[in-house]
Amino acid sequence: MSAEKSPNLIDPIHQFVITTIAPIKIGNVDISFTNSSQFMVIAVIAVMFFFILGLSKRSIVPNRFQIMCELSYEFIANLLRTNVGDQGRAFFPFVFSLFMFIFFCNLIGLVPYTFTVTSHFAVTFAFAGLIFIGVTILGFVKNGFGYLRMFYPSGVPIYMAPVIIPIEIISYLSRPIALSVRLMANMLAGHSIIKIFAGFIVMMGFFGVIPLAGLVAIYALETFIAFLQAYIFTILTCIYLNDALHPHH
Amino acid sequence: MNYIKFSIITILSLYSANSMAEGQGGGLPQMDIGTYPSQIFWLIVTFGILYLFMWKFAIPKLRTTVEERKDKISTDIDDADELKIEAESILSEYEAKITESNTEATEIYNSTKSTIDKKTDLSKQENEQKLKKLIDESQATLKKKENDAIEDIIIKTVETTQFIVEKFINEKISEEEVRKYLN
Repeated sequence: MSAEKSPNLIDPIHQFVITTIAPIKIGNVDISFTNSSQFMVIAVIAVMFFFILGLSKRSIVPNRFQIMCELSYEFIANLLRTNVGDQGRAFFPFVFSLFMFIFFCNLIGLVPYTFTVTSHFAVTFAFAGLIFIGVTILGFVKNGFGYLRMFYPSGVPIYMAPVIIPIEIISYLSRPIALSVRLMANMLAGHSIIKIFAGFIVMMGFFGVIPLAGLVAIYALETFIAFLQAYIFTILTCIYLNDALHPHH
Repeated sequence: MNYIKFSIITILSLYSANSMAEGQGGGLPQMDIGTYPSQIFWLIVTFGILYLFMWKFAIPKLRTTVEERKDKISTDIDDADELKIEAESILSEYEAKITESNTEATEIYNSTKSTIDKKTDLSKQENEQKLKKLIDESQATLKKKENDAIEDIIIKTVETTQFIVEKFINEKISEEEVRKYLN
């Protein structure tokens, strides 16, 4: 790695390197347990811990943990209800798990010396691709070939069709890429900025307090972005679901 | 902020492309396709476990908790409404009882007052009568005593007159004659 060769230089991408912890191979496919897998497990355990702790002593008058659990539940339930409606109920476990997983991965990734699972294109694209394929299948199952009318919005004059339909198809196909790149790029850039600023603090010695102040501000911003990106990912999932369930709106 | 971020990504990509060109085996770790199967495999495993956990444990528990609370609140509100109605009826009952007892009390007061008045009148009359009788009796005795006294005086006078007349003219005079002269 380049960090080993020049230890004094800031290497902002070293934190994204995947290192194998336990090598596993099935046939020719390498599915080793890596630091990425490790932090996926940590995030899932954290989410489970969060809910088990919050729901262990369920009461009518909730304690603080229970309030947090219920707030997250109500938040995602409202998101799904306002964007998809009652038909979205079946997808609530998926959407809720998705939000909690991405949010916890983003948040855990902000702790120094950890790994950000969602900063990798493979993970975000796996989610986005799953959502894209799922929503497309759902759209065709629910609407038949009427789902294709989504590419030709009503009220558009017929002579605009050759222009509109390719644009709509391209925008539809670019959804998973936009969805996954947005999350991954935000995580990648945010963590790189943090690393670079942290390097400045070391380099500037006493005057490092100036980038330190900047780092504190950026950390606050990144904490917000950790939530915001999870929220955006979830709300876009809801919007795509809505498109599949009610394509004519 | 987005502009800064994407310019940083571009710089990073260039940097990694540069290091790749130098043959350092670097490059953005995100672009290392060799790690994709592992990442996706473990993502499916961990997310699958999380999905099952949320689906089978967290969401039903959260749903029942939230719904129990909503039920509890609505039943509490209903109970409160019922109690309010009950309290209002009790209040009106209480007020009715108060007015009833007020009228009863006035009645009792009035009747008692009238009976007491009657009794007082009665005893007053009785006393007056007794007094009158007493006055009459005493007046009568007074009158009698006066008459007796007068009679006594007359008898004494008659006797005195008889005695004087006997002494002076030595002659008995009858009582009737003296009385005749006296009048």
